[in-house]
Amino acid sequence: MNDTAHAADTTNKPSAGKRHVPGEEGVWVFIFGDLIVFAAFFVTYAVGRLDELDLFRESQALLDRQLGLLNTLLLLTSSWCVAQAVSAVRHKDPRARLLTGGAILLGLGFVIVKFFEYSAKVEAGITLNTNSFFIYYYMFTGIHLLHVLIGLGVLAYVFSRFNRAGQFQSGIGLIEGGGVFWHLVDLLWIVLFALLYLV
Amino acid sequence: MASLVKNRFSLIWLILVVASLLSWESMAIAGDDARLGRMVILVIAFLKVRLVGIEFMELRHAPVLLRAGFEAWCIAVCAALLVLFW
Amino acid sequence: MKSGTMKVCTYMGALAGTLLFVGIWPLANMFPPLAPDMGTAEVAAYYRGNQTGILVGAILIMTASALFFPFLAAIAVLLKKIEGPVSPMTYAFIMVVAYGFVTVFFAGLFFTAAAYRPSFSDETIHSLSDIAFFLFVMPAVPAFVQNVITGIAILGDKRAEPILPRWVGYMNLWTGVLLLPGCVVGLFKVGPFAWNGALAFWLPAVVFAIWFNVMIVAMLGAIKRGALAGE
Repeated sequence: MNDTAHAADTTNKPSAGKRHVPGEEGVWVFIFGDLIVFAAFFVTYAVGRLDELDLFRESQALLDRQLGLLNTLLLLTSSWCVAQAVSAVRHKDPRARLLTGGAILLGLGFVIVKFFEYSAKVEAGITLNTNSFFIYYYMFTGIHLLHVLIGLGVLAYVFSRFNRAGQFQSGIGLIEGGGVFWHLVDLLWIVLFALLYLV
Repeated sequence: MASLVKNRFSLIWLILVVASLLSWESMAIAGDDARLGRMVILVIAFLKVRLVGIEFMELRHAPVLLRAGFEAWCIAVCAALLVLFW
Repeated sequence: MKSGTMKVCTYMGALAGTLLFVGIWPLANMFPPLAPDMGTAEVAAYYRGNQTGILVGAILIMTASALFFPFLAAIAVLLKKIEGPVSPMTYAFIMVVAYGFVTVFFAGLFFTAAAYRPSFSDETIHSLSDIAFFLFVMPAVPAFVQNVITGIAILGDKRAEPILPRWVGYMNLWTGVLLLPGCVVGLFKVGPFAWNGALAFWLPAVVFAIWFNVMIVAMLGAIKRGALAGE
């Protein structure tokens, strides 16, 4: 995957004079496509909220804000791991493998927390059709969770491309592209957390 | 080997964590003015989003068009939400 | 000569898309879809009052369903070229589109059945109408699998000049992920995720239209370049 394109690129600052597209151009088709669609999600939610202000406020109070914050911190830290891993691969630093593994574990943590959060909701009798707020809650966090799972799959593939000595066997474009997707997952959660749990 | 702790990414991470905690408490800080609280939360959220994009996604080294597209998205979506949550 | 038949197959996709749109929109007048929370009497009256339009529109919808297959076959040929002799993605693609797109035919069939006997009870007409709409929106799951398979196959192309551009692969993945929310329409009668909602209908409709047009342009580009020539 694009092995040659970035093979020479081993500096920490990938620009080093010239501008550099993280990953490959095609990844950004997906990223911007997703950004635009999630923008539509956010605006639809904000408009729907205006119709039922009280209901949204009361329902929001039922969410577990602590778990939401915990998940935010998990994803932020996971993003940090991936950013460090990309930089480490550029420096031929074998700790890149460990950092990628750490990112995966933190991402799995997010999934586990989400599982407990959903089951607590269902146990309390709050389901998809409880009211219009919870349609948004379940659907948006569910679609985001799908992104998390895809991202974990991509990171697992990236992880498998390290050999035991921690050397990366593919082009830098692969880990950069996977990293950019993982940061997208983090970034979308930041907005979802603010909209669903806080505002 | 370069330190994993003392570098730019760690500083960004720290800023992001502090910002998260700040927005977490902003309803309490804003007190009775719920609207102020909402605006603060949204602005902090999009400042965080921008940081993740520019720093973690390394858009600050990317071609100007790519970066500009991302910045425009942040501004447009944040502005739309600020209006809708006013 | 072979590139000629490939071109014709690709254009069949454009023809199918046009027929589908003409059939469902001005003729059957089902675009945007009838609201899922519409009353049974109202739905029945809609079919009785618009009988001819629906029956003729349904013929176009069913024709479109069949004409999608030459287009999908042209995609399969390109995927096969990418994969070579061992081609699991190509076979998976062929199988999943075979039932994913046949639903369009059945949607037309159920529109026909719902409009065919105006003397039937309101409930009967409403039930047939529901089935027709589910057939349109529910295939989100096969569509998801189809797009993910296409995306993975395109991104797996190791050629210096890929058969289909890599960004088209990413676009397919994006399309797949965003069509998937359509699978929940059975849970809602109102709101953004109902079958006439902003996020379960309009968004996938726009995403599908973008995918469709990008694929046609990318396929014609590959054929023109002679990407299929040689081994």
